[in-house]
Amino acid sequence: MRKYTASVTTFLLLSVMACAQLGLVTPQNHTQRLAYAYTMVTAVRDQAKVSLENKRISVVDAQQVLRLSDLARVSLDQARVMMEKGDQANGLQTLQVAEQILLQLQSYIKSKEARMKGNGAWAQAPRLQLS
Amino acid sequence: MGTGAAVAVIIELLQTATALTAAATEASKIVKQAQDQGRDVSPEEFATLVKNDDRARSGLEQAIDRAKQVAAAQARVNR
Repeated sequence: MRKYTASVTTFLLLSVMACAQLGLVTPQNHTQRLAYAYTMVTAVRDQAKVSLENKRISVVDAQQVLRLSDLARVSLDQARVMMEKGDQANGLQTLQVAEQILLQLQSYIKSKEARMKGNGAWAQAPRLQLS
Repeated sequence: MGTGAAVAVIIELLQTATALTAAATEASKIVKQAQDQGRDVSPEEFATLVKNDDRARSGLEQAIDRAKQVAAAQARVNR
């Protein structure tokens, strides 16, 4: 439990640092944090779609991303309902679960992309321009 | 995970949001507006974010279906 709390606290601090670095508005309350988390689910799904279309991840990998991002989304929906009902403590805890899933998902996609790169498939695929 | 690696992961998460989806800009606008007005994110604003995610989910699902069809066609050619 202590380890979990520490990792969530670290996540929060790092999120604030990352937001500042990218010029995004830093969330100041739970609903604002929830709004960003919804966007992160969307971004992870978009990232998986682009990676699949560019053959940087396999169909099985993309299916796994879809399944886990659905799990994160369900957690966010539950957190939102809890917060709307005034149950901030449980809402926040559920939001933290979703954020952990999203972090794991991002690492999962990266590791799968690295594996495809190792197979040579990634090198032949068109590169995604991030600008 | 070390602090440096964790920062990189989170920055990448947010960069992905920034680079790949219009939803990120929308979320940032929504959060800024809520902050400027000193209020929570409204149900209507959440509905917009949910709609964006539903669209992204559908896009990923369709990409998976297309990739499966291509793989099946390729398998038929190889037989």
